Amino acid sequence: MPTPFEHLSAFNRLIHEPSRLAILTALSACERADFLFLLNITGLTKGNLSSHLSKLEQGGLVEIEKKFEGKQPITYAKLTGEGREALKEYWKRFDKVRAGVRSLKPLRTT
Amino acid sequence: MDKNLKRVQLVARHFRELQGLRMSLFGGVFALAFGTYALAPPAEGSGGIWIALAAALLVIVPCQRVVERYYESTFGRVTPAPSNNSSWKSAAVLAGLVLTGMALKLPPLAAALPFVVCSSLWIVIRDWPFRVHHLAGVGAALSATLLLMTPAAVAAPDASTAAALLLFGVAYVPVGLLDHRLLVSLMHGAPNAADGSEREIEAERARRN
Repeated sequence: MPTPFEHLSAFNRLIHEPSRLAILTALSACERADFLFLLNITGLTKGNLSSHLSKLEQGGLVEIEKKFEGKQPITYAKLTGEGREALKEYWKRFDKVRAGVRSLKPLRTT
Repeated sequence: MDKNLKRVQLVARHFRELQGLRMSLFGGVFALAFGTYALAPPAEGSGGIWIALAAALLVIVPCQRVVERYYESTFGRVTPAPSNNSSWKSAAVLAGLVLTGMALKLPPLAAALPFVVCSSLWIVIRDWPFRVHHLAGVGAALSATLLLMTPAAVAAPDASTAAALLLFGVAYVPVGLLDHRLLVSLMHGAPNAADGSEREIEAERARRN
């Protein structure tokens, strides 16, 4: 049976980063969200948000859609099926680590 | 899941519901329309209540678009998940209750009251402890029920319906404002937020306007 530390090392590094996890959590709770919403909800700067979205898009977890609504360019981000599965797997692993750490007993040194 | 992620999830899942100015507008216009009706009540059965209702809806529909534009340009856009888009289901349940009430010869408003009580309680429980203020909706619905059950209400159904709608209007203005305040505080509660990001959000909003 893998130890909590083995589970920890197997975390998806693309997801296991606070800002990217916040982006993915937001996208998992809706169909899609635009750039301004993600900017507001994460508190990231435009550059940082763009960079994180690019990484998530390259990893196949997020799909970026650029469109015009009237004369306004709007950038939407959407979680892909793969992204949804990866996030589910991430939380499953996270719960295992938490349960594993809780079951650890401190070593007696005396 | 930590507190910040719960905040993110709550806002993304219920973004439209938290746009409280929509509800405040609805409540404010209803309070104004039925307050005016109560001050100068027309004769019972003259159809004055339907005119007041139509006038209120004529104001609300275009103003809702303005409020929607405000939220889109200030906080962004979210398309709700299909499983979470319950507005049509709620409308169908409400219409079903009203039609059942009418078939049982109950006033339409009386039939809609259980829906208001249940949906308000559901919001309070689902989003505990963030949206306790929706208990005001329960209070308004129970008060309206008592009001519609009085002998005076039976004698003057139009006036009592107008009074009940005035009660709802007055109750939903603060409920909407508190939802809006909650949305603003949840949106600005990001741990990463710094002066730089605030400036960039402002620039993005300015570009959109």
